Amino acid sequence: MTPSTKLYFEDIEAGMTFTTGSITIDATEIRSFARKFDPQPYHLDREAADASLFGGLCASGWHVCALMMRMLSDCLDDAGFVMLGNDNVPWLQWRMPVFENDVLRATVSVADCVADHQDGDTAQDDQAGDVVCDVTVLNQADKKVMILNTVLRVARRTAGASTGGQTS
Amino acid sequence: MTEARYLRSRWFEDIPVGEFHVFGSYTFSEQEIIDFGTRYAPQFYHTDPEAALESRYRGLVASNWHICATWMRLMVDYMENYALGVEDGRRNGAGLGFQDLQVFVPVRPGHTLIYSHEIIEKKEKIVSGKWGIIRSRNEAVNHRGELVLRFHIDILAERNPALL
Repeated sequence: MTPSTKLYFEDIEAGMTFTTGSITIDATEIRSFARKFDPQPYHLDREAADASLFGGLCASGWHVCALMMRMLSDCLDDAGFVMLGNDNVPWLQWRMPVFENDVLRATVSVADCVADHQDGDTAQDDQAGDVVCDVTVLNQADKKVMILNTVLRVARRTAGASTGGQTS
Repeated sequence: MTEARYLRSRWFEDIPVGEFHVFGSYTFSEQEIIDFGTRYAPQFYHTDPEAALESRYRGLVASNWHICATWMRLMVDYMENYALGVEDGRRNGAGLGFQDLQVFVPVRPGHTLIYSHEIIEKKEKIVSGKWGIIRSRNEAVNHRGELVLRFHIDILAERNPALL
């Protein structure tokens, strides 16, 4: 979906909140991600998972991160965010296991907007700003499964790049 | 594999602060970057090599979550031989969270990352009666020796029951 209105750095302010759509995670996807990126027994094998500290087959924490990114990306894209990157995550906590058939969604709250980002590239600093977000991933019981603080690089309106890219 | 078996039997108490390992390397292919991006981070600079030329990255780059998931894979393989404070390398504890994750340099198709970690702190808090917390500094450098990734992660390690 292409939003009718773009949200540039100048349009975003602390206190804005967004709620993502939801994703249901099944055992096949838990195992598939785990086989590639996190092949530990509690992400692969139901019996071993039952005996583990998690008490059941559960998703890799990095799988939850990836799903969070998908929900966040779709939500902010729908809202019109012109996101240029996300290279900085000040902190993240995995609070609870994510089990098979859990339904996840996330809330995103803008905590701060920082214009004078210093990444050693003046040309790019002129065209973007940092939007600091608190993100909470919830399951179907409204329990927090993961919380994080993440910094999104968002284009400035003055850069005039509707595709989110540099024009120079 | 005598050495590996010995290391696999280490408890929280046996892991020295300052221990440093280069634990793996990985070369990212264009297709893997696109596959991960398409599924989890569908920004065009992770999914479309042509359009990505117009992005601030000037080309296709891997999602930071792809770089981190690859860290996990290499760490799991490494723990098979050098477990972090568990009786059995396949029963290590969970990750609690991380701090200060930064990607400094883009990872492009064909780039090779070399991952390392150093134990920087052991917390005395006991979790659920049997776990300690180990904090490590994890980094990845690319084939040119540039620092690409850094984060600090807290992972549970089983405490020696005889000492509890």
